[in-house]
Amino acid sequence: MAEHPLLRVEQLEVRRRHGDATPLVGPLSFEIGPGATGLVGESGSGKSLTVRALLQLLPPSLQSHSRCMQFDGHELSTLRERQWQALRGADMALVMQDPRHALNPRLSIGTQIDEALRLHARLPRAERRERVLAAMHEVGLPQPRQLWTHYPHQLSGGMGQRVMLAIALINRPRLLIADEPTSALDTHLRDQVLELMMHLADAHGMSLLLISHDLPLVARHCRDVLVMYRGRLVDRCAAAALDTATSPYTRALWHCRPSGDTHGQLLPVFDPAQMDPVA
Amino acid sequence: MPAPRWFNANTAWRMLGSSALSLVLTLAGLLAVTFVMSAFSPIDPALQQVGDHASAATYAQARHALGLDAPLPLRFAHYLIGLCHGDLGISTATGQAVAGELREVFPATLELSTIALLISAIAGVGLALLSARWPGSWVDSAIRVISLLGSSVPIFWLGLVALALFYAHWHWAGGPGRLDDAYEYTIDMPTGLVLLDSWRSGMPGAFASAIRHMLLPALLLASYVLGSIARLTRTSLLGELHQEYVTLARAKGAGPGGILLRHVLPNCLGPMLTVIALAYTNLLQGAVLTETVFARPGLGRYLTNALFYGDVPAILGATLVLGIVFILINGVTDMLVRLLDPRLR
Ligand SMILES: Nc1ncnc2c1ncn2[C@@H]1O[C@H](COP(=O)(O)OP(=O)(O)OP(=O)(O)O)[C@@H](O)[C@H]1O
Ligand SMILES: [Mg+2]
Repeated sequence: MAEHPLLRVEQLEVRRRHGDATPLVGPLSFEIGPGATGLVGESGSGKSLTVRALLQLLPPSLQSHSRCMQFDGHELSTLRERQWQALRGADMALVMQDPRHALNPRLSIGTQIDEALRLHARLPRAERRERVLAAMHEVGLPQPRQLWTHYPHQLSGGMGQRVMLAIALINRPRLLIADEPTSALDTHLRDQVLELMMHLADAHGMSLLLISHDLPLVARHCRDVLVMYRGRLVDRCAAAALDTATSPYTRALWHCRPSGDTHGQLLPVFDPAQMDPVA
Repeated sequence: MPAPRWFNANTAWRMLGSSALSLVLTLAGLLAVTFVMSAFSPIDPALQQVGDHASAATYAQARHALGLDAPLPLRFAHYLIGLCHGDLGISTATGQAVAGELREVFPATLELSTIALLISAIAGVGLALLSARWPGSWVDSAIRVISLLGSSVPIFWLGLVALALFYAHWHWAGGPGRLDDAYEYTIDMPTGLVLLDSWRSGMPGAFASAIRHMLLPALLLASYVLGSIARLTRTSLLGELHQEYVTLARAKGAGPGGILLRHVLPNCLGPMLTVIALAYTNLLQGAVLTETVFARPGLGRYLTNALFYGDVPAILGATLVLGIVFILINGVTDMLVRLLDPRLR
């Protein structure tokens, strides 16, 4: 890993504002370096809450706290909301799971991509238009000029996800966070969109934090993997070493992939008693 | 910009067509109801005309002259044909054509309620936005108090208090009537809209007088629906804030004010328009009371007098006009809601 990680988080916790004081997530500490990092874990393990906490996008009923959260050497935990607004979308961008809900149904595609640019760059309208069209072209949206006036409901899921990608990439962020960016898509579209995202992140030198249920996919595309279980980080390893993982939970996750080989057999069952969380 | 590919003129027309069809059906229902009300009203127009002491022959003659002895379907047909010619019958109280009288009084009512609607819609949506931006602040309490007052204090009582304070005591607002006496009988009223006519009269002070007289009734009437517009809009705005697209907008770096105005508000247009249309129909009804309190000429005073004299054609004519306006308001709202939603276009 580089001498100076892009994002360094220590003792991050997410709790409810009222009532139960046990953290929903954390405490967790991790670093995100260059290239792609995978974040995996079963449903409800706290992956989404973690990335929302990284972007200060938690719902009002939740709050996060961390001892230290450094982005490119700058401390984030002391930022005010205005400074967060300047950071979000410009330096750290988010791709969400389902374009059908994440895109605003009342605004045209062009307007929604343009907004991301308008919020962070003072550019003349014509130049913004050029950049939006270029971004649409870059993510492989066909006929960007016609598409500009389309609305989200007129797009297929794959196109919607490309629009979301264009929104995230248009300001050339340093870190792209993708929360299950392909789980709302058909299998054959999944790889296409993911390949595109990997390719663009690579081409622009962005770091990528990829959240997914899909371990083989993460193993194929990422450099490092963080494994979460019940709000805690239980393992971190090189993606290439997933099949030889030593953590019992990671091993169970890895071997739980149903496939042609294991057809008709019982998949292994994970015993939480074997667990000792790291971090 | 060329018409986008998705814009299908056929769908748009079909949609407008279905709105228009339901409009026509509702209108037919309204006509049938007003006709039945007139046909079975306990007040006998022939008797009203000839008086209690007339002979049976005179009475029968009057009935025949009024077309009351024809079978019901034929009478309905006559009624419809009359309507097509703008004939709403003759007022039994004044002997004038009801249609002509309504043409004089209705614009005033429409003017008052439209101004009240503008005030309450702008203030109501504004308050709702403020309270959605800062939930739990003083704006919430203000909205609660206003809607409580608006919905529970009778409008005529509030009107009398307002007149006593702002007119009689402080002289801030104009008193009863729509103009100061100096102008009331000197200005021509071709349109019946007092603001417009006083403006066009060119008389210095006439327009100002019209505004001073409009102030109290319009504000009072606006307060009648302001609370419900604010409350329902607020609920709809807050409900949208949980949507995923709000999270994405925040992730883009948008601030809370921008999110409310650019993302959430457009998604609340449908419910807002519906609430405002409902408020408009309420305002037209409220205007009837307000006009009576403030002694403004208008449909309200006309209807009150007609009821007092048992003037059936006048009552039914006014009812019909109000009914048609209600139907139009609902129909237009329906079409607007659909036209404004890209998913329904
Ligand atoms: N607003 C909230 N208030 C209280 N608890 C919440 C809230 N949002 C999520 N949680 C809880 O926090 C835990 C982690 O949720 P999170 O959405 O981060 O899971 P996830 O790992 O992203 O799961 P999935 O893979 O299904 O998306 C869950 O148990 C969930 O019930
Ligand atoms: Mg999730």
